[in-house]
Amino acid sequence: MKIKEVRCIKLNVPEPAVRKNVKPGWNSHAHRSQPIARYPEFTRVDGNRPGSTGKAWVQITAEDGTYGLGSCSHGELAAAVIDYFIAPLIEGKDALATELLNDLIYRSHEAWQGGVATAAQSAVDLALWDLKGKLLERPVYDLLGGPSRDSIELYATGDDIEWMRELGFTRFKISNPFYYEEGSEGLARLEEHVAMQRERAGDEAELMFNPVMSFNVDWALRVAERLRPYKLRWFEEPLPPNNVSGHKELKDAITWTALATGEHSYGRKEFQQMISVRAVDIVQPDMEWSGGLSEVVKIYTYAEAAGIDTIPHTGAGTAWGQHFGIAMPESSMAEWFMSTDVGQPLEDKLLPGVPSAVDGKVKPSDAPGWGLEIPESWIEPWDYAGQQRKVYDGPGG
Amino acid sequence: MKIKSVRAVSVKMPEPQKSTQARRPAWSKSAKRAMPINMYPEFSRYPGGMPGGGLGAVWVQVTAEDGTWGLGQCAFGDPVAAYVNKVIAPILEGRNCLAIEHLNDLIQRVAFRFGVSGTGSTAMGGVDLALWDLKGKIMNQPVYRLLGGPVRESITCYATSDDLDWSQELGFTKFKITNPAHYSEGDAGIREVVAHVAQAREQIGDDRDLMINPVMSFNAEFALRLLEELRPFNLRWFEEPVPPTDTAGLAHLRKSAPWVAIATGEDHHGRHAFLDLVENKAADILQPDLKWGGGLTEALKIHTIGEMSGVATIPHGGANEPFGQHFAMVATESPMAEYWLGTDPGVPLDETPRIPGTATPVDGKIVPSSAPGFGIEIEESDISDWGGA
Repeated sequence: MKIKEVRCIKLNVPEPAVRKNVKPGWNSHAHRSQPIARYPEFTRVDGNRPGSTGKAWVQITAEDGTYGLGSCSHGELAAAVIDYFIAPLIEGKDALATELLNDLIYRSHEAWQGGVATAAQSAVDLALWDLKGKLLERPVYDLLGGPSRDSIELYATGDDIEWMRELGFTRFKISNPFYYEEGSEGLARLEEHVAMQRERAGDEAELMFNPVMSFNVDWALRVAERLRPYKLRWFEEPLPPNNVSGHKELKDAITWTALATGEHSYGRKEFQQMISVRAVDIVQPDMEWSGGLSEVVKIYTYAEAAGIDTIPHTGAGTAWGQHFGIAMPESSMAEWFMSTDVGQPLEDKLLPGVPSAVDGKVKPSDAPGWGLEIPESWIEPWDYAGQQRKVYDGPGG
Repeated sequence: MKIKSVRAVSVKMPEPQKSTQARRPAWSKSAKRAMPINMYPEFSRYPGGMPGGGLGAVWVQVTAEDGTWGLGQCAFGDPVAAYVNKVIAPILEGRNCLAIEHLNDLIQRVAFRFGVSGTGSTAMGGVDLALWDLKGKIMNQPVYRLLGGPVRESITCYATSDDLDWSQELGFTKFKITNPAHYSEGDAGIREVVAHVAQAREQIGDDRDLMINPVMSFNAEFALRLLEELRPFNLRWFEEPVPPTDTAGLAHLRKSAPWVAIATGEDHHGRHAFLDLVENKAADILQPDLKWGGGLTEALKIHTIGEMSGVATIPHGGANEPFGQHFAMVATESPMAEYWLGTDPGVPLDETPRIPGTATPVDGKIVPSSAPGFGIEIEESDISDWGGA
């Protein structure tokens, strides 16, 4: 079965109905530091940080009209890579030959892969797996050789601990508002922030802390030492992704908590460098950024042999994260990113066909492919002319 | 779909066709080949001299609830058959037959106690291959297609044989020859190998790939001195010079003799052994054996580790059987496959005794069957309970 068409599309997902009796969740107001936090014009609240260009979707249609869907981050940048580079490369090729197609894409952009190019590859790969599942009439996890478990254990990412506990979660990853240039005072505030969240979560709940690249090695060591009494399950992405030796130094020095990272590492090479020197305890590739399912399974395979857990970034709120999580043995849990408001049903932010978390667990759909049930009417051509030029409006914006 | 039974079985192979008269007996019936045991002169270097060599092929049949079954093959006779029946079968029966990644992990976790290499990984190999055959049959696809292939139109083979005239006549352009010497022979051994390689190079010409396979008969010191002498002959690779336990020795060789690639792996079993080779920079080419080293699942994991590290994977004996042929159709970083040419010169390859349904090379290339599973053409009536061997 040959690929007839690969095209970037926009998914016009309707806004969920307005709910009564909800209050804004952490995701709308929590201060979260990122590397750009050095410059005060970019506030630490989501929506006023450079780097967000939405999602792009890809629709891949086979000769017989069957199609698969996938998506990636950095959409407005990735769209052109998909339409003008990847589509002509793979149209007309065998739709089921995912290894060949992955290798073709990988080799032809070897000189400029990583970042946006690898994100674009992700959407294409995810769409190919959806198509393969549909053509063979199997859920993707069947093709991967799963399931390896009855349901996926989740941890919740968010700061609204009481609400997450009410939903049945027992593992929590909290945000970090601080930046490494804030010195001793920042350290004191940071400890208060974590102490307060530990208090709310209880002594036995797993608690993770996510600085999203906002530290340097020096500050990360001070922070880890200061947080020692709060028994963190892991310390996530303290440094920017290119600092492999820095991560290695942290991992060797910090024996009381695990080191997790990987959401900003794009593709197999970066992970091979990290894992081969054992710079990390847990790898967290993102399937919409790091090359798709094919590439993340490769990363998983190397990590598995090295005795390292793979827990993908923002995994379980997506169909791909659920299929990966149910299939792969050395993936002990999955992330549930709390994008909903407090009191709002989790389903409100899920695509049709993606099951929701119940009591801190989730189980993917067993329908063919990813099991997405996207109405045809939501699919619109990608609109290059209508791409948004983002304006950053300064502190408080 | 659940697994109803997993069992070691015997398979009645078809009588070999013998319509063409051989010109002479094949090298494999008479070549002098050293192995580690040849430290002791009581063991012969000629065919049949190796203890344990009589332990034959073990087949594994995995049957699903609906009666569909898959077949895999491994090796080393009774001990492996017992491992299949007594250790693996009880773990697998009643579980989802399509969940191969899960089943691989289950078997592996049990095997850590018995040893994840040797008998354990060989039994695991037979079972894993049977599971893939079954999955292909249930999904009505050749295994390579389930795995995301084909990544190439045909498989380029190299010929393992000392009958270089016949290999060339068949259209092969890459050749691997035997090694007659053991390191305990010192300089005399080196002279014998050099003469053997020189003669082969002369016979195939300067531009063809030539490999030599000492099958663990050297130690690192002897191997390095030999490689100095072999430098003028431009070997494509030097295969398994030392036993699989000597990673440091291999890494030393590879660093000290950069003019030749180091290949090894047929006696390394499972992903961890290969991760160790790759991370210690001990090999340029990984050569897992699918039947001895845990099956297709394990070989693909090894390939991924190699691919991520820039190292090729060329399985041991890959092109002789459907298992390795399907691997080669899906493994991107696998530039060629080994065809063990053990039949007599003059007899066409399509008369070679083999698993029914297996493609044979034409002009040094193979296109495997695209029938469901591995495309093995064996009938239920040819399968019986394990008969021992």
